[in-house]
Amino acid sequence: MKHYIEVRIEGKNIYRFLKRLNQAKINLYHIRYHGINQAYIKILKEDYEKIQDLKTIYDIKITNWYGIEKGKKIIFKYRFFLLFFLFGLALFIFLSHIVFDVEVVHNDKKLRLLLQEELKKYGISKYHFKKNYDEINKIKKEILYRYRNNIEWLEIKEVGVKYVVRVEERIISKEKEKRPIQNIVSKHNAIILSIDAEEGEIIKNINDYVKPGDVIISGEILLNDKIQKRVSAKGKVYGEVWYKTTVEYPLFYQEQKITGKTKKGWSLSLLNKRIELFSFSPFRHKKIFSKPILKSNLLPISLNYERQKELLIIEEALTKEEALEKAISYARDKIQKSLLEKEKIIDIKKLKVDQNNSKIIVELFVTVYQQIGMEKKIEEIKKDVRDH
Amino acid sequence: MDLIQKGKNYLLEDNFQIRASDNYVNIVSYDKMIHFDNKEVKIQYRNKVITVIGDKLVVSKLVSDEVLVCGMIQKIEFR
Repeated sequence: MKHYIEVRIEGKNIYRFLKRLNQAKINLYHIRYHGINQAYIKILKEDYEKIQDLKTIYDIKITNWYGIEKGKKIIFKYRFFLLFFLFGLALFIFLSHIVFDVEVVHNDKKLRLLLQEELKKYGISKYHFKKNYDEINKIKKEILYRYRNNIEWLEIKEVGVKYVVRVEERIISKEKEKRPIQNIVSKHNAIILSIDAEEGEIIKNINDYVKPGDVIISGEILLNDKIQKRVSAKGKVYGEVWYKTTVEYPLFYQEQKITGKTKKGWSLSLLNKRIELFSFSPFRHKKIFSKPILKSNLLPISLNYERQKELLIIEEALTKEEALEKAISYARDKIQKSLLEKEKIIDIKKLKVDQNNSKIIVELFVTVYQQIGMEKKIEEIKKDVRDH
Repeated sequence: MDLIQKGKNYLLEDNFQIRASDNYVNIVSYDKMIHFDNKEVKIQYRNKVITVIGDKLVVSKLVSDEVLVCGMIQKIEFR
């Protein structure tokens, strides 16, 4: 294959030089003249060496290449640009095939997490390669089949570098809960304060005194002393319930509070002694979390890294009255915490106060507004009656 | 035989030829380039000299068996 180049010749008498080239059997395929001292000639690449030998006072320079040679030269000239361009292109293609986010669109957090976990199993998660259309369809089908009771419809859509997963939850209406035939009975000795019956017949009145096991809402609907229908009694009964409780409270009170200030430092442990290192303004009271960095197996010595939390120590000496007040308050808080919604303390009365060394012992009578109703199956009640 | 020679001549163009137009002269199978400048180009073929006279003459192609002279051609002499 012939390779051509273009050469610029510069010199005194171009015509003479061209004639010399012709005599040397060098083919000049195209000649362009630039003034009388300069010409551009198209020659075979292999003739360039011959021209170099013949040039004498003429200046010869390659100005252009033709064919593959030209391509090679251009590639060489722009090699760095091409390299970066190709690298950039490869990087772009690579990054555009990576998933940077998977967004599941649904209100239910549980379902969202379930889908995210499930998609992860199929490789659809952050910083993984994207899947093709067929794979996505296959994954969709498999998830839909596996969770056919939970998922109605599923869509996995590729939006840029993320997957947006839209899901429609399958709502299967639950069968109406079968409830047993039951009464609502009292679980405490109490005075009824309110009855809210959804189903069943109320057979007690407000302000009635009830003992544990007394039926308040009956599941047996009576007409002329005959059972007409048996239902599952349902409802809420609140009543006044009484408790006796004893509270002990110290007359000398100490409390430790963390102030929030922290410090990091070093200490040296030697036998039972602890020496703080580089501690210029140590906390007066503190909680120390220590981690040995250097420890000797032979000697009881270690270098420790410590995290310290400042403590504020509150000490209080109470009078009997103050202690009594705090004891009642403590008891109130404790009871209140054990109560459910709508339940409340009606009254607290002190029955007896004793002082023993450094503490007081208070006996309290607490009146509480509390849920007293309890579900009890009718069979169980009848069995109970037979047992008695 | 004549036919073969004709075919060979057609393909290889080894017969001396001059093709001329208003602004170029193409000479094929010449022997020697004697002289050229922008006023005159002299080419030898056997014992004959072809002289192209004109203005702003340029030799656009100068290969072993072909010369292309372009420019304002006034006269072509064949002696």
